[in-house]
Amino acid sequence: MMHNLLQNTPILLLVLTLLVYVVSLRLYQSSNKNILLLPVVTGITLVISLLTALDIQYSDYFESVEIIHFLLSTATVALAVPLRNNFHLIVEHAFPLTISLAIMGVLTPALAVLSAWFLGADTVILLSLAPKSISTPFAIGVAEEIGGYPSLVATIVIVTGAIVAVISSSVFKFCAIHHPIAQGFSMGLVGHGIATASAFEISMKTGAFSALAMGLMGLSTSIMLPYFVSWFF
Amino acid sequence: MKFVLYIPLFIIFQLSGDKLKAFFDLPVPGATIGMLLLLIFLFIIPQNKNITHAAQKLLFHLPLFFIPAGVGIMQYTEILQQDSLALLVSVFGSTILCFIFAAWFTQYLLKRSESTLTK
Repeated sequence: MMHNLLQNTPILLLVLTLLVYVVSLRLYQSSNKNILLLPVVTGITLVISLLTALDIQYSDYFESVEIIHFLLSTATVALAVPLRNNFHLIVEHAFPLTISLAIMGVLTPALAVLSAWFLGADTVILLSLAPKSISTPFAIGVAEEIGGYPSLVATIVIVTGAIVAVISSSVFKFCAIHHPIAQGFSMGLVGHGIATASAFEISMKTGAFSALAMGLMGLSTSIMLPYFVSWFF
Repeated sequence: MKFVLYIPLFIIFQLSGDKLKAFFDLPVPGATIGMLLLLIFLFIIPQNKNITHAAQKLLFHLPLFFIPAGVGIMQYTEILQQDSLALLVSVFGSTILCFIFAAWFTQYLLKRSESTLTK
């Protein structure tokens, strides 16, 4: 009965997703921002459990919540705003940051793809790993472009960001990284939006540079990677 | 609630990006083109608090927008099991290595450029 009701009234799946999101967000905030309760992770897990329990196909689900997916691209476009607002800081540190971006922009996808290739992963998996350090909206766009699985990419990207968010404070301590710009920039370069949220918890300056690195990395990778891939595959 | 009125501005740039992508057959995501167009636009107009506020609100709820795509992972359980070692090593190993290197390298470059500036 429940199954038929949800199947025939797609709006209910949309409402269900919004409810799951609100619950996940509350859970994260009331746990004092426990990194293991990141709303993205909780939200996706809860929705998958519900769909499995109610026996609903992913294609039916996606159709009902396409408007939410549409807003992912809208949010990507909105990343231009923090980029514009921090532009004076980019100019001030342009030289070291450009070099860091250029090196990491090549090294991060290369290391991810090479390590998986070495262990014999499928081409589709390799293509889905390449955009792992860029913000999800960019990464999904790139995946659709180069032929990876968008959903697999989304998961890989989310896990990557969570790893960076979890290890960042220990890395800064053990490797003596005290420069706030270096802290923020590296978090954004490798851990995109999820690490940026944690960077803002360190300080506003750290957060701003993380947002900056995330925007620049997303922009450069989503422009370069499709060309790069078309040469190799 | 005034910021809600500015969300359509982002959507206009998003759709323009999609149109340009289709028209010139570009291999770059439409949203990236939209973002570049918005960036140019933001340099032309004077700084606007409402646009900043709207962007902050939208970016705060980024986790919600990930859900539809992320849930799709339920289709790929077989592939994930098949290539689980490669995926785990690549995701965990390369992320940790890259992050340590990125933090060290960025700090090294910043300190170098700062010391030449003060000399």
